Order: sequence, then C-alpha cells, then structure tokens
Amino acid sequence: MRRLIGDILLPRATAIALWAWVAFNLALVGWVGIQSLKDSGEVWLDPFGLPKTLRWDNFSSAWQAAEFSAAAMNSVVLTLFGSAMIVAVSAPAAYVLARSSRRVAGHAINYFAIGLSIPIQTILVPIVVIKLSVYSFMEDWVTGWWDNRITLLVFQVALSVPFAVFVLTGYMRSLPHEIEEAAEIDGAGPLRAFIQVIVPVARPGLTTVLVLNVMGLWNETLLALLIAPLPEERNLPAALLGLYSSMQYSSDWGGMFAGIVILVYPMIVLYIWLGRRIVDGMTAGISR
Amino acid sequence: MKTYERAFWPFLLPALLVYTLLFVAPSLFGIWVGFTKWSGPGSEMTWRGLDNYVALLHNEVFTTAFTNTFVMATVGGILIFGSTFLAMVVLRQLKGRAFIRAVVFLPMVISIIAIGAAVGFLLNPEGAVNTVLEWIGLDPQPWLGPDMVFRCIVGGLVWSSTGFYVALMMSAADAIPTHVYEDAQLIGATKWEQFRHITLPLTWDVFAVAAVLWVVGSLKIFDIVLAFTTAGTAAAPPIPARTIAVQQYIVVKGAGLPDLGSAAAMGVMTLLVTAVLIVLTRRITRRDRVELS
Amino acid sequence: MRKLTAVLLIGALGLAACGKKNSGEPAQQSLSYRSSWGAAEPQSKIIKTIFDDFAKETGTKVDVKFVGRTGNENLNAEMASGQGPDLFDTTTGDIDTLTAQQIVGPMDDVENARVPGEGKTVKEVLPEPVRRASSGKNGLAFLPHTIISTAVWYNAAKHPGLNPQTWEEFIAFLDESKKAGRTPIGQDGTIAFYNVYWFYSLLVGANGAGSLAELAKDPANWDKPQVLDAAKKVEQLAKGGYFQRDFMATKFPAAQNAWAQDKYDLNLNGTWLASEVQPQLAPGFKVASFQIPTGGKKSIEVGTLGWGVNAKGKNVATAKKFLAFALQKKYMEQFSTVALNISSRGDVPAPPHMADVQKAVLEAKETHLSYDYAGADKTWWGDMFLPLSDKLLSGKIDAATFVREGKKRTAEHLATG
Repeated sequence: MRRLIGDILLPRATAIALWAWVAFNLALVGWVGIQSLKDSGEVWLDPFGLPKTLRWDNFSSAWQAAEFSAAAMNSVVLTLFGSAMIVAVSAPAAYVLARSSRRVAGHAINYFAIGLSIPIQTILVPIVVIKLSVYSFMEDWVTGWWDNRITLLVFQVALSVPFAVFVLTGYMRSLPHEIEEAAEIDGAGPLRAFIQVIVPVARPGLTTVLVLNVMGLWNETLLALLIAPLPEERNLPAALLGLYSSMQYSSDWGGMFAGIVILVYPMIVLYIWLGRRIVDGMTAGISR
Repeated sequence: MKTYERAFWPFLLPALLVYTLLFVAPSLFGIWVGFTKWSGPGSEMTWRGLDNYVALLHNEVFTTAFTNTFVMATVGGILIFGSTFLAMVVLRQLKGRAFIRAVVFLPMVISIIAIGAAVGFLLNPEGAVNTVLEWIGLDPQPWLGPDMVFRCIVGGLVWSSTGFYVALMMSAADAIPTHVYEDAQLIGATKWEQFRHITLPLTWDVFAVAAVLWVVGSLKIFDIVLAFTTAGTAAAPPIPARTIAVQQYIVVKGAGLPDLGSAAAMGVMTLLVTAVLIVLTRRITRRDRVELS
Repeated sequence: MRKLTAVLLIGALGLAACGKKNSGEPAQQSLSYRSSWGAAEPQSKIIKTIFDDFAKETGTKVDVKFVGRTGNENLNAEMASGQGPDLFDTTTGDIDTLTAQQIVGPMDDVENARVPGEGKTVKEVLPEPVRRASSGKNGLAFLPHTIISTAVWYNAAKHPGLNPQTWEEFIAFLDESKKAGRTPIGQDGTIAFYNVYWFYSLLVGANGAGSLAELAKDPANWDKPQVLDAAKKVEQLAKGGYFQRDFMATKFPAAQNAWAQDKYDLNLNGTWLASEVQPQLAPGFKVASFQIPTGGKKSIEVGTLGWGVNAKGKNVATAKKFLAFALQKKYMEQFSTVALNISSRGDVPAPPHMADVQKAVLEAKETHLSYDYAGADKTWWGDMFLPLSDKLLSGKIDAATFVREGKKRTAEHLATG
C-alpha cells in the first residue's frame, strides 16, 4: 500500500499533471500566435479555427497604436540600467557588511532587512507626491525640464536595494576569506581589489540578483503606471494595457493579439536562447 | 587594516543613502500622510488623526481587499509550494525533466497583462473553457462572476508563479549527490519517502528564503487582478477580486478628489500584515540546519 | 547612482546660489493636449486633424498625445499641482471634482467667442441642454464635442419599429423573445456602471433629476416609494431570467459584441455603442434604439464629452482660442459622420440610427445628467452603491433588501464620513 501510493500513484499522477501543465502552456502560446493573424470577427467567432487569410497588418496596426517602439526602448533601458545600478550600489555595501566585524555593520544589516518587509503600498502615495514635486521643482528652478522616466528609474533602484543587499550579504559571507589575501599583498586600492578579486569570485551571486531584478523590472506595472504613464515614457506592460484598452473600445481583437505577440514572443525567444543559463544563474546564488 | 574595513563607509554609503532617502524617508512621510486628509500637492492638508484608519475598518470594500490579500498570501502560498513539492518528488528522474522545468517557468517571462487579455476569451461564459466542459458533459461555470473570480485569480497566480519556485527548489535539489538516493533505494524507500526524508530536509533553507520571497511578493499583487477583470476599461475591478494594492490604486488615481490620506493609511496597514506574515513564515520555516555528513 | 546623486546635489546647490525661477517666455505660442482617446479610435483621428489645422492657421506649436483610458491616472493630481497639459478630455461627471481642485476656471470668454468663419458665438451654437450638461456652479466648465445618452439598443432589421411605451409592454417583449428561444438582453455584467443603468434609468427617468443623487445625501430618501418601485422592476428583470446565462461573469465587451452578432435582442448602453461594435456588426444589422419605458416624467439623460482647459496651465488663452476654433461645423460634423456619435452642435445631424436620440435630447422637457451626478461622493458610489446595485441585478438580493441595505449603509457612510 505504502509502495503503491509513494512509488506509483503519487509520482504517476504528478507526472501526468506536469505534462498537462506543459501542454497547456505551449498551447496557450501557440493559440495567441494564431489569434494574432486573424481578423477581428474571426478572433471572436471562431477562436479555435485557423485564420482564413493571414492578417499580417494586425502587427503594424498594433505597433502603431501602442507606440511599441518607444515602449520597447523604455523597457530595455529602464530594465538594463536599473538592474545594473541596483547591483552596482548593493554589491559593495553587501561585501563590507558581510565582512566587517564592526558593531555598526550588524545594525546596518538589520536596517536593510526592514526594507524587505516594507510593501510597495506604504510608499506608493509618497512616490506619487515626490514624482509631482520633483517635476515642478526641476522644471521651475533647475534644468527647465524633467523626465518622469528618471524618477521611475531612481525609485525602481531604491526599492530594489534592500533585497539585493540582503541576498548578497548572505552570499558574500559564504565566500572563503582567503580571497582577499591576494589583493592585500598586491597592495591594490579597495575599489580595484573589489572589482578584480571579489567580483569574479562572487559572480554567481551577482548574476542571481541581476537576473531577478531584470525580470522584476521588465514586468513592472504599478510603478510605471503611476510615475510614467504617457505614451512616450511608458514601458511595455503599460503600453500593452493601453493597447488592450483602445482595442477593446474599437473591437480590434486581431490587433490586440498581435500586440501580445509583439510583447511576449521576444521574451520567449530570449528565454529559449539563454534557457537554462537564466534559471541556473538565478538560482545559484540563493540555493548556495 | 583589511580592505573591507578601510573601504567600509565608502562602500556602504551609496546604498545606505539611496535606501534611506528614497525608501525609508518616503515611507515615514507615507505614515504621516496616513493621519491626514490630503488630495496631493497644490491642495491643503488637514490633520485627521486616526480617522482614516477608523473609516477603513468600517469600509467593507477595504476589509474585503484586506482579507483577499491575506488569503492570496496564505492559500496561494500553500498551493504554490504544495505543487512545487509534488513536482520535486518526480522531477529528479522523470524523462524530459529539463524540458518540463523550462516550460513551467515560461509564464514568469510573460507579462501578466498579456495573459489576462487571453483569459477573457478562455473564461467567459461562452468561452473556450466552458465549451470544453460542455463537450465532456459538465456544467459551464461563471468563472469571472462575483463568486468565482477571486478563485480564478488565485488559480492564475499559482499557475504563473509556481514555475519560478520549482526552478529555485530544483536547482537546490540538484546539488544533492546521487549516492544518497541510491542508498535510500537500497533500503526500499519510495519516491515519496526519498523526497520527504532526503530532498526536503536538504533544501529546507532555500525553501525558507523562497517562502519569504513569496510572502513579500504576494502582498503587492496588482496587475493580475486588473488583467482578469476590467483591464483597459474605465471600470474598477469588481470588489470580490480586489487586493489592497488594487484598492489603493483606485483611490490614488481617483475619479473624484484623490484621498491620499486614506490610501497612505492602507499602505501602513499592509506594512503590519507583511510584518506579521514574515514573522509567521520565519517561525514555521525555522529549524536547525541539516548537513550531509 | 552616485553620479546621479551628485548631479542632484549640485543642481540643488546651484539653485540655492542663484535662486532664479526658470520662466523664459517661449518665442512661439504653444499648446499641449493629453487625450483619453486611444490613438486607434476615430475620435483621435478627428481631433488630430483639428489640431493640425489649428497649428497651420495660427502658427501655434501643438503637442498632442493620445494616451487612452489607462495612463491618465495621475492627470488630475498633475494639473492640480500646476503641471500637465493645457487641454484635456473630460465629461459631465467630472465637473465638480475639477472645480474643487480649481483645475477648471471660468469660461465666459469662450462662451462669447465667435466660432471662426461662422459669425455666431459658442453660446449660440451649443443647445441649452448641452451647455447645462457641461456646466458647474461657475458656469460652463468645459467645451463639449459629443452628446452622450443612454438607450436600449436593438436590431431594427429584425424588430422593426420596436418601441414599448409601458413597462408591461417591455416585459411582454422580453417574455415573447424568451419564449421564442432567444436571449432577450445581453449585459456585460463585470462592468458595474453598466449594470446600474437599469436601476438608475428607471428611477431617474420616472422621477427626474436629483432622484438618484439624493439617495447619497440622506438615508430617509431611500424610504420614498419610487425607490422601491424602481428596485422592484430591476428585481423582476433579474428573476425573469432575461439576461444571457452567467451574465455577471461576462468580461467586457463580450456581451455587446455578441449583441452586435445578433445573439441577444437588446443591450442597454450609451450612444457610443454602435461606434464601439462597428467591426463586429452582423451583416444587415440596423442599429436602432428606444428609451426604457419609465412612465412618470420621462426624463432623458444628457451628458457630454469635451475638452477642458487646465486653468493652472501655461497657455490658457491659446487653449481657449482652440476651443472656439474646434467648434466649427466642419469638424463637429465628423464626430457624427466618422465617429458615429452625436455631435454637441444642434445643427449637425446625428448618425441616422441615433436621429431619434438626438431629437429626444434636444427637445426633452425633462433632462438629467449622466448618472444623475450621483457619483459625486465617490466612496458612497463606488464602494457602497455600485456593489449593492450589482447584487440586485444579479438576483442575490430582492428589492426590499436592496432598499433596506441601501438606507442602512448610507446612514453608516454619512456617519463615518
């Protein structure tokens, strides 16, 4: 009986469920692709059929309606700059916190840990207020212009720092102490020693934090909607929401699915290409 | 003096400043706003004391959103980690396991808004899911109606998030040497027992981190609710489906005068829930580290 | 990051040193507009044309953004704090909020401005009910381009001349449709403000302006027999099974699209319906409408969509000049012919299928504003009234419970404020 459940029933059922899940995911992705090539009536009336004629123009109308080119650019820049800055700011701090024997280091670690438990809701209203004030301030007094995307970038970084410091501190602690000795003998300055000695050794952990942040920032919706909602400043999720809305009101369903494909397929291709490297890189740090 | 002692402040300061000025200070400001009535820069701020909190606790819509958020964090968490554990029982040996791991992770790279747009077609009363149900002789269901929409959202959440935790836990499990399992098989342990007595204890520390990750992430759930309900229209998502983040967004963007005081008070209450849940999670997952000897 | 912090610091220091406000007068007139229309919608194409012409004729530099329904979340807050565009989209229901935030200012000068090339003033071109629907306590609050109203829509090719005059006739039609195996009414039940159309139209249609809004102001008003009467009619619809199966689970716009495909007979909706479902319309579909037979005062809903001037903006004068310019007949006609809506000008005929709605609006003895302006207290409206109305329409509660609960919760709401 024990063997029947523990060795056959449970594993078999789970395996079947897993394959069903896989099939569903693949079917969904394929189905969206097929829908994107139909005209609006077909999408609605015949959701499982093949398109009668291939409507490639759905893609151009979606691209134009949602101003995807600007959004894609914004997403790429915000995501790459943001995640790079997060790691650049957090890694040195995590390193000294992990190594130092000063009393203040322990307090600082706890202080960063508090940030982990502050949900975005607590800071949402202040962010909106700061966004408006910074805009007025810069425009009236300093530069004469301002771009909300900078505000978005800065807050994306600030909100991600506690988690990055937390994960990296734990990770750096697990690194052997001997690695610094080479640098000490070398007599290199702290920054050079850090970049040349610590960073290469800590690469798996840094990659983890980087990849986690890339995924987080790429899909950021709430902050993007509140800070940078205009067509030329918004990121891809916000642009898709905008497209979704205008396509609903004009019943251009083919165009809507084309928009989804434009947003989703590149990510899938990227994922297939980098595949295991993303997942492995991501998990190497945490599971250490 | 050691490098890291010499460089202590220069290395720490940037992160400390960014975090303090742009995260901690605004949070404190948010707590302050929670005690006032205010509709933003350019309008007058008046002190309300605890009135915002009292009003929120009397507001049935907010308490629903509050409960929903809590349920999502707990029930969603149990379902996600339950599925993850089940997957871990078989994924170590199953044929095509690398492929399975890759494909179940897929929803993580897809925007949830995109998923939500497709969901309307699938879950509508005349949609694909009900069509399939009718083929196999079952009753169609009002998936997106007031009674079921929240369950559908939790389902969607479990579907889209589990892959991430499977990847995380499996990569920890990969590090366990195979000979441990071979020994276990020799003494006749079933797959479930191998998981229960080998895999789980040896990946428990990763699970502890993953559980906190989930709790923190689950409390800001926002876009999936929009995606499953009224995304793209001017209407607010139906009340049974709202989370605190959604409710706050509705209040901040406001069709009328935005009530920032109330929205900030919601933020403070989320802070309390988060603290409680993190403490609970840590207590549940706390135990002595198991080392392979 | 450190660099950015440094830049910010230097910027702040520089400010302290010179303390001079950037307020360079632009060499050229400029005008910015941020739209709630999506770029793909016909309205934005029309509006784009007007702005292009305006730029050409006046030499103004225009900056036009079509954002869509999502993306303007912060607009009010931005304008209230002195930022944002010079012109924005707004509607009848927003007037009080905009006035309270001092985003819109007096518009007498616009009313008395002449529409270019026509010799008439703005005031003369806009019919009285239209102006009323676009005015707050300080007079005209924004310049309307489109009239909106609510009606029951049907396919005149299948039911020529359908126009029930009494509630009994209306129910008789529904019963007959049901008996013939059809679905009488399609309803996008996930949109609460479409669901409330039934109760609101019945109550306010019969009892005139203010009869819904007063429910938010004093719990005692719930005791008026007219409230129970309207609620009972909604209950009758809910219990009668006239809506499509599981209509409360229907994700917008599934029901209105299916209606356009002739799957349902009726759809209660705004005058924008035909425009929205245009690509889905079944061949030969002839869109037509009638008013819900309410009896009583037979009040007609009049709301407007239009452009507001950001009173805290940088180019108020130019923005106002644009409004008079945009009201020219050649542009307003396009809101009818291209966007398939009812133009705000009385002398522009509505699209044929809405000629009767236009006539009803312009000649009505009794009119009321969109949602009777009951959404002004948005906590009451969004958190209490709409959910309650959903329960009534979905048949979860009966009319008596609806009234009892409404009264009780209004009292609670007013007490906690």
